[in-house]
Amino acid sequence: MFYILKYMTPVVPSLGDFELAVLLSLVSLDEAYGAVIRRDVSERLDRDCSIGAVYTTLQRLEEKGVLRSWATEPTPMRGGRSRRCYALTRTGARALREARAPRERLLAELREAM
Amino acid sequence: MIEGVAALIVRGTIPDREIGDAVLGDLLEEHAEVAVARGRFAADGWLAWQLVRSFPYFHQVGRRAPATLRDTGAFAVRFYRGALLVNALGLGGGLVIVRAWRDWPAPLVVAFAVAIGFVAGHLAARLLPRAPLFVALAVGTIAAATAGSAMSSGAIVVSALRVAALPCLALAAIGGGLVRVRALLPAS
Repeated sequence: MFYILKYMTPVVPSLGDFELAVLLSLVSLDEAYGAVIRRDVSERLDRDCSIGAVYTTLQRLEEKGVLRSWATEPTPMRGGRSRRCYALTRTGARALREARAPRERLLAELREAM
Repeated sequence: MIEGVAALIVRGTIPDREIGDAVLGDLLEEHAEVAVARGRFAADGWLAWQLVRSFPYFHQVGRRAPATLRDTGAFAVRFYRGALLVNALGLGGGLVIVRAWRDWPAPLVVAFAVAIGFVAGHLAARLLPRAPLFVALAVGTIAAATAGSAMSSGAIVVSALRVAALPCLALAAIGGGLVRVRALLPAS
């Protein structure tokens, strides 16, 4: 039964708006880690996001297989703490491509409705 | 000062140490940048606001979803064992306070509530090291609610000072948890 359930789940996960903003940040940033992602997402969404919201989303996306993470070497600038960097996976790239079509449809309908 | 508070909150609420380090490092890095750009006072305000807004999320950060059926079972056992313990400590603390409420003078009840809250919060945080601050807060809230509901039943004569014991109890429980979190901090 678990085998069937596993293959019933979509291969490419659907993305929410905040998740989409986080993934777009990952694509645009050279070294994507919590603080810079938070700033970038805040600029994209035009509202100040909390670091907790960003990390919760990053973790959820990692569990979906959309991105991967690794720890860098500890730096003195951060009090000997390491950064956790994030990068898109192939599944993530596909999820980004597939996020476009439904949003374009919705936007088209919105333009008609207004 | 605020950096220390941030460290305590992050250590006390994020179960995964590695993720906690990353979150704390990010917060302190941005805090330093804001301090250079807008001054120390603004930076401290920014950090405090980030902590307040992030607090509800921290418990979820670093908590991995169970991968297998066996993991799910183990997780369920841990969860219910923890919930039972938190409730027992909270209810026990609340009932002991209600008992004391009946006979003791009000200032003594406040002192007793603080002591019970502190011990219960500290014990809970010791026994459930994953997110000790949340556990201590839960114990304090349950104990305060138990004592509050007994008071509202009319069985106990209520004075302002006795009512003040309830938030004192909850805060003392967090204090007990914080003492435990301090012990978990790295020596540096």
